[in-house]
Amino acid sequence: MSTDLGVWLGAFMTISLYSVLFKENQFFEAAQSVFVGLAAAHTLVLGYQSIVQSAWQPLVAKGQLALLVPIILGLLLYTRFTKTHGWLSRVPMAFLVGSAAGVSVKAVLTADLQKQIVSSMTLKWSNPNDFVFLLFLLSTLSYFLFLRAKGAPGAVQAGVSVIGTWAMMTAFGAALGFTVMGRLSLLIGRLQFLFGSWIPLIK
Amino acid sequence: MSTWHERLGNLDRRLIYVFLIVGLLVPLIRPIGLPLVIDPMVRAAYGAIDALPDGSLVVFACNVNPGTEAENWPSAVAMGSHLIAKKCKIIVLTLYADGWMYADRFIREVATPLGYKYGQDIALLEFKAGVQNILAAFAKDPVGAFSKDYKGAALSSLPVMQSLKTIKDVKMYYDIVQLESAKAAVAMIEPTGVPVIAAATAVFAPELAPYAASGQIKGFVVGLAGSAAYESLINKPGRATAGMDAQSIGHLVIGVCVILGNIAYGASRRSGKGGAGDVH
Repeated sequence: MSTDLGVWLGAFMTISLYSVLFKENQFFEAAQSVFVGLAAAHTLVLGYQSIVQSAWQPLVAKGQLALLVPIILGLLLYTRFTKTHGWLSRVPMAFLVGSAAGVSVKAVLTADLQKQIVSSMTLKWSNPNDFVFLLFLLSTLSYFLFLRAKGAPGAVQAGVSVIGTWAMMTAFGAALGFTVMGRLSLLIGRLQFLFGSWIPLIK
Repeated sequence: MSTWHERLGNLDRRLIYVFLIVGLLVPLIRPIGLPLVIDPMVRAAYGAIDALPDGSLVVFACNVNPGTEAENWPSAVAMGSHLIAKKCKIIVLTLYADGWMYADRFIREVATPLGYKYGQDIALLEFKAGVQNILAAFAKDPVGAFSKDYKGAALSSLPVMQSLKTIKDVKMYYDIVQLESAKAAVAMIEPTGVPVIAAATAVFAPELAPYAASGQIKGFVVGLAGSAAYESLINKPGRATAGMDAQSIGHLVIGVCVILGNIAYGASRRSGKGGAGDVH
């Protein structure tokens, strides 16, 4: 068995966390609290370091007064904890939302909408998958058309919507399958740690 | 007296966990050597790296975290080793606070043993918060977006950074996906003409597929299976390959459980007692 204290600690935490599968117990509660505490502390320290390195030090050491603007905006976010000055937090929030939208709207629209539409309209018909893709695309879109035609066209539309439902179920099933695969990989990773690093059974 | 389908439907879930863990552990200890299928997207990612001219400048966004280590670390090692075999100059960055630990580990455990010198062949940039904003700034002015490496040294003092003047100098952007990093790479880096490839946990596969279909991502490696396939392509079986037998047996166990559960459910419905395991 490993003589490394860190490996023993890792093994103890891993087993404690998985022990919830048997039943709720104090080891699981303790391990869960330790992880939450560690994550919160880690984030806090990184945030503090980021402010010191990218704002406070350049302001004090290099006299970059422009950095006062983001520092003040950041501090204004905390005014939401007071009843009288809470409205001030809307100023940095508006700045955050506005700047994020300004930076990303054009790029995201191009990447996620324009290029995806172009890709969907320029199929290579030599590939049978493209016929399936087009069928599923149109039928899924038809599912979300809430205006129904009357008579025979309406019946056709309803039939196409059913194909759309199946297309979406296929997609959700694939997503679930990938999720199961991902969770199994995590478990395999932990088993490789437990029976590779801690108890060396895996060669 | 309960019937067989009631007993099967109400099987203690802990028994299923035991079956699963035994099913995973046995092939880990005694590998079976089941055949490995290589996904076309993995082959495309391999082809994209392989087509790079020797010595190309590559940006590697190492966004591995402890929760994704099991799936993403093997692909970081395999694809990183391939980049190193191509003698690429690698600029490593991390878009999330917890990624630098693995970026640092990549330099120590993968790059350095393969002869790479920090500062000369590879560098790790400082962490800056703001995924999309950082990539937007990097795409516009890669020299101005970061000023220091993760140790606090000025980037201008590192030889590997001298070849980076504009984003056009970057020949490939390799993203290990975490949350919105792939979307940000597709939105900010790909429009500049830099090819983007990705490695992701299996959960992200459905999100990446449309980008691969449209050519916005040149190839991607998904999950442990993708990493194992990549290891096979570079002929360096590693941790992912070792886990693939277990992955397959695990899927088999889950599949059998799903089938048995449905048989029990169907039998219970036919017997008029409602579905075994129904919540009342």
